[in-house]
Amino acid sequence: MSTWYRRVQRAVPDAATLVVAGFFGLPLLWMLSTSVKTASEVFTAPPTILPKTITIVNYQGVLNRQFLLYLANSTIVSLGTSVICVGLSILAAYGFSRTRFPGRKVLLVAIMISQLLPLAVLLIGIYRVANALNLINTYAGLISAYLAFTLPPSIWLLRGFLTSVPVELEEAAMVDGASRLDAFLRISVPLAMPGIIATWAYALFITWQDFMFALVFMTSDERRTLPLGVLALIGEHTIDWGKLMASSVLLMVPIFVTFGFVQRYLIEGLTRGALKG
Amino acid sequence: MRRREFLRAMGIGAWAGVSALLVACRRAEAPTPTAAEVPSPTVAVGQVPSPVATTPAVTEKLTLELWDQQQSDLNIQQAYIKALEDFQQENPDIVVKVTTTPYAQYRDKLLVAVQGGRGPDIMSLDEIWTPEFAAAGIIEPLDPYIQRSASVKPDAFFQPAWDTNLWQKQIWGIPLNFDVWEQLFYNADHFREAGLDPDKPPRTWDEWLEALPQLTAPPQRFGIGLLGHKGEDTVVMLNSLMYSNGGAIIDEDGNVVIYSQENIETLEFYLKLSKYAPEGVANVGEAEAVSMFAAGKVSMILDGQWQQDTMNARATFDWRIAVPPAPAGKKFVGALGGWNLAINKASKNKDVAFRLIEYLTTNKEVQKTINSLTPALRVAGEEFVKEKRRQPEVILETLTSGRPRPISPVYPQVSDIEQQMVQAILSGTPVEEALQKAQRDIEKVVKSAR
Amino acid sequence: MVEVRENTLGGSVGPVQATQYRKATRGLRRYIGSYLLVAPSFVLLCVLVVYPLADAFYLSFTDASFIRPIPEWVGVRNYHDAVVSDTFWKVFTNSILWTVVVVVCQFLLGLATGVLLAQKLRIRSVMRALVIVPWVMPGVIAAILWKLMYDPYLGLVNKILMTVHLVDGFVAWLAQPETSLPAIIVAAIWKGTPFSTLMYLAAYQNVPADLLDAARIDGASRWQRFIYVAFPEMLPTIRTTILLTTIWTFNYFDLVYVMTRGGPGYASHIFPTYTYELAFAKALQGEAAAYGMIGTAIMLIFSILYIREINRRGGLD
Repeated sequence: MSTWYRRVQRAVPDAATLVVAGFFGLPLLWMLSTSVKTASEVFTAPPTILPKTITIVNYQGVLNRQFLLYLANSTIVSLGTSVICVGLSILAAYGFSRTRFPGRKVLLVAIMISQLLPLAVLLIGIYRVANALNLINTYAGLISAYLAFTLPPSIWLLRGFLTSVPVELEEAAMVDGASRLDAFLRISVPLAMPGIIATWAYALFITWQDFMFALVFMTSDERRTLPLGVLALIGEHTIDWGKLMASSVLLMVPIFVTFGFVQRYLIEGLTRGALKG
Repeated sequence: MRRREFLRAMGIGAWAGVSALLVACRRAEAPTPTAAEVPSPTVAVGQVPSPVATTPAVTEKLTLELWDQQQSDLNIQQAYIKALEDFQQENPDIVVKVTTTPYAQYRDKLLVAVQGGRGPDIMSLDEIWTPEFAAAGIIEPLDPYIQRSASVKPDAFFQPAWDTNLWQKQIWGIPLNFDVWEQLFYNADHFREAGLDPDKPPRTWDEWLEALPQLTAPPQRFGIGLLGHKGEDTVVMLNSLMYSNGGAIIDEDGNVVIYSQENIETLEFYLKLSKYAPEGVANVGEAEAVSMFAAGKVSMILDGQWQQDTMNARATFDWRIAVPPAPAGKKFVGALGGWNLAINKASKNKDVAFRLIEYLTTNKEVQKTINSLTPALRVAGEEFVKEKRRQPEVILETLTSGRPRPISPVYPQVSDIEQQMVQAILSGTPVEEALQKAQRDIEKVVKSAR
Repeated sequence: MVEVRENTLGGSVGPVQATQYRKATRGLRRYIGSYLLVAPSFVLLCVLVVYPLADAFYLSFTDASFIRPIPEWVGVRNYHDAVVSDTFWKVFTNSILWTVVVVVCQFLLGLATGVLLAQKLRIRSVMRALVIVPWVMPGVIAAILWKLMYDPYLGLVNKILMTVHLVDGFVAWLAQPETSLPAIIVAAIWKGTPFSTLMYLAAYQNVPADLLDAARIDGASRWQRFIYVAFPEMLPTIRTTILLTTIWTFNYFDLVYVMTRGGPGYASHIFPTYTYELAFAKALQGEAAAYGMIGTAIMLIFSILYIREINRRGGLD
């Protein structure tokens, strides 16, 4: 009887994994299958999970010069934002975790509070500011807008991470004659690298999928980012389901590739950063 | 510690003060986009209108920005580019930049841009937005330009399309295209299977209600894919039913007349129709209805002629169109829709912009290639439906007998009230009560606009 | 006098209260370095966020609308009208319900999944890749996908539910007032849990193995080991994650807006979607700003209380 109980116990994680995998994965499967269906099969009732006939016509229709243009724009904007975000966050996080100054805690809280505004309220205001600075339809403008909502979580995460890197190591280096900056760059930054990469990846992923800010800030076709290109497949009266799903799949591919590389660091970094509440 | 608290409070106060200052300064500037405007020369009555004002010789290239909403058919996008190439060849000193945005996001993008102080020179506007943009002071009245133009004349266009640009005795845009909700699309194969004559679709509401049960066999098949979600498509469809029965929302004198005996009948008829539609009418929009029709799930839908492209691509059965049924003794009246081209008041190149608008709206071939709705230019529109659509007589008949939706700057709010009304009815609110509430709400909105 | 080690960037490293007080009187010059470090971020945020916030605050007291670009001051009329309307309270209760249910479920599911992923060694990488799919999918695409899945006849949800006999008949989940918000809640849980999963997975992996071993040797069951050893160690991560998820969920707009536009009627409207409808569909900026401010105020109260709690436990040092 006890072996039966133990067998069930061991099977539970497997079964649970299956259920979880199903919950998270089924919509993806649906998306993939729709992307390779023919136009007439998309509209069958009852719906088919696995397509009867597979066609790559949707992917062919989507992979054109414009798609590559949008891909390039997305790369520029997301890479730009994530790199700058990390740079600014390291500075700020360093200030918050290694130094004490008046208003430190208030500033820290204020930075988090800037996250609270809803989009509808923020959008016109940010647009006006960007317009006054002549940043509409520029990479710099969109990157600035993205920084506004990636900086606060990044600062908080990196701050926490730097706090858990012992300051004694830096001090030891300083005792040996290194300057403060040297000590920081040569000792703490490498130790903080997982967190830095994690923050970078977070900013990359979030900006890659945004569409509201891109819609409003990028007014000409040459500057459009991928999500805009994907959503252009939804017309006023019709939706091209096959192409829509195909382009969505393609949009997510670069993210998966990146995630594959940074998986290790992302997980390790996210937790260290969060440790100090 | 009190000193610290004090400093902290000071810091926060200073921060708040500076931002308040920023806001006050910003608000003190002119809220509407300013531009160095060249006053348009007035043409005295009786004077022969001169041809389009010649601009002084321009040595450097002038850029015109045009925004339009995007059809999902990519060929239209390319046709736009091709059509503009010809224009740019004839006008080498002008560079035209076209940006198209999907309909669902177009309004948002436009609103943010023009309120943020920066919009395109030319914008295509849904005709229901034209009075709104005019009242907001965003677009330029075009009467002087029309007077000076040789080709842009009211009678060159379909009358209803032209009229949607008229507000407070001025013309605010030139029609680009227009169309009507709706035609009745029906599945002839289903008709045959049900023992109905596919050449004789229902012509009256009674005949409709007789045919529907014979086509409905849940859960495999339903008689009609009915719209009911929160969207403008629900409103136009419902309006066409109301107009056909003699009802209206706002009459010519501006009175709110949505609560009327005719509309009560219409909405009760709508509810009866919904019994033969699949579950979930309250979340069905045009895209869903088309999916269901193409999948053979429903035998009839009410949709516009533009959907013929989709049917050609996706339907695997014998599909036909017909003029939708009307109440016995009455004629079907559709609800009109369409797009106009307007000029931004802040544009620095209004004359040139108008030249482009002339080109896009009065050149027959251009009109036919850049539109998937019916071209508003009469000669182009008639040729268009004859060349590209099945049963053009049906389309033309519904086009010419159609009525526009209320022409008012607060139309978006009126439309929202209608949408809420439909949703309430579908959730069980009695028809009369819902109509009364809509009457009150619309009256309030119209009053606030004065 | 106690030796004080100073770093050249200002501030002190070491708790010396008396000398700190004296330093403060020497002026803020000491702290220039620190301020320089945080200045770029702070200035950017001020310019990009504070201005819109202040502008919205101002607009909420006016009758601003698109067709009335020169607004007139109307005092608290927008707030008053909001608070006395049934719509506001529907949106309010929906928002609270939405946020609480989604956050709690994301927490529970994320915790369970995170710990689960730490156990199985076989398909862990594949599972991790699968798990982040919802998180990296653009919100609008996810919404469209789920909308199709909820289609009564063409969708996956009913097909599955009918196959396992949990439902008989084609339920129109998104079209019924009682089921529309719950249906979207399920989609939101699917969409956002991966973030929690990753955080908790990592936190669990960082629980010191020797602590767990000691507990096991002492005879604690797996469940007890989790509750009394792992969970407390993970608490700091849990706190931050819940704060972020709450803020993000409360303001999450894509799913509801695309799936039902807040309908049927107002049955699924939440603060961000209703504010959006006011600002863009109806172009009533003043009213939209008032709703936006109220929503922000709710989140502000929550955040301040929450962060004060973290501060009390030393999390901000």
